[in-house]
Amino acid sequence: MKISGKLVGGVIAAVVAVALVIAVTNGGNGAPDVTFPDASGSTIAPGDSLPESTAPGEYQPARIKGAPLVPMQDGVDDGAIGAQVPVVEGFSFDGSAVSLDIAASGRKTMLVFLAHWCPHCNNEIPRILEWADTEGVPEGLRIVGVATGSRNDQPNWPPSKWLDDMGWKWETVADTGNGDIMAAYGGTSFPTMVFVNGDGTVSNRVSGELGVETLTGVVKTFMDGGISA
Amino acid sequence: MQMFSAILSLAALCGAVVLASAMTFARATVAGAEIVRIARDNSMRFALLLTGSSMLGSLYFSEVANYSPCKLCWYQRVCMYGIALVSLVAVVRRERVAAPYVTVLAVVGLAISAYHYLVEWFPRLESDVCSLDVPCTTIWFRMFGFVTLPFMAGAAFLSVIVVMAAERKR
Repeated sequence: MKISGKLVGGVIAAVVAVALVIAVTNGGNGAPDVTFPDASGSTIAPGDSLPESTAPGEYQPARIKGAPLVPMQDGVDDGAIGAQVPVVEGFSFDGSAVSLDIAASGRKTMLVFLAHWCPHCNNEIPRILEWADTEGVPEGLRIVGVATGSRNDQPNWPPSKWLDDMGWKWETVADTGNGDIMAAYGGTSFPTMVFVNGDGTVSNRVSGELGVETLTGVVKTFMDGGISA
Repeated sequence: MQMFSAILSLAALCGAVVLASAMTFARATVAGAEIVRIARDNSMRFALLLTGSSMLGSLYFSEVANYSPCKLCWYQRVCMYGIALVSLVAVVRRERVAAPYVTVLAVVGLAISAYHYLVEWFPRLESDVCSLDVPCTTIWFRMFGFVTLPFMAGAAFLSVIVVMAAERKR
């Protein structure tokens, strides 16, 4: 038995042809049109007027006033603790305004920055919900989710539906297409939680999966007075 | 392109299984011996075909489809592109001395692909957080429920290793 080079070449060509035919007849099978966020949901200059509402969307505009917090870094003392957070005027997915002028509100606030495609965020949300159910959200604590890092070529798009499906039950701000709110809070990874005192200063910033037990401790410390600068 | 490349990588994997089986039973069957001979005589051409097409595919996904490569993708590219270039020179110069270099690159590449594939299924192996840039846990697509980019790279590396094993049977 002799296998010729032509036969081998023919088999390879046939395999490529079959693969091509299957791919074409399946329309590439769901190859997404990758369109990254551009101008949609851009920042609004501090001096410009802010509309009372915008059109519904997965990205929303935001007006950010004040200096951004220093970016978070692993293994480094957080220089943002004690710093004043910037004031953010943003919008939820449905276009209604959400104010993050925390100093003006006087309420302790827990901001949770979440990306729909991030597996750690997908793990953490059920734990936050479990924590809220078992431990209870402390009185006076405001919880705000920030849907950021959204990309329409990634799993769980759109983030509005994703958060609904995950059972997120607190108010939500949709970040701009450039992730300006995340950047203003110095976030460098997902998920990130920023705990802000009622006077608008940072009490603590944490990133990664915390789990119920750790989250319980972090929130208790925060509510009891937090980490001093 | 996803479907096309996924089918090609599965075909390469099937080819590797057939060749590995032929090598196992080469002494017992005439067909097995003949398959091994074909692989042995054309080892560098097969390596070039596997890694060259993988290289072009990866360039398509990053430059045309805009799938940004992550850190582990780049490490695999170093091995894949390295094999493609080395095997191209070997084919042009009709040299067989490149087999050990190709094998080492393929083994390293396969190890990285295997780890990357595991990270896709078990993200906590990599980190507890997703980075702002392209994390290695990002899955651009998963064809047939299991064929992802590192899977395809791993299939190419594994196929190259099997072909190089046939080369050693000279």
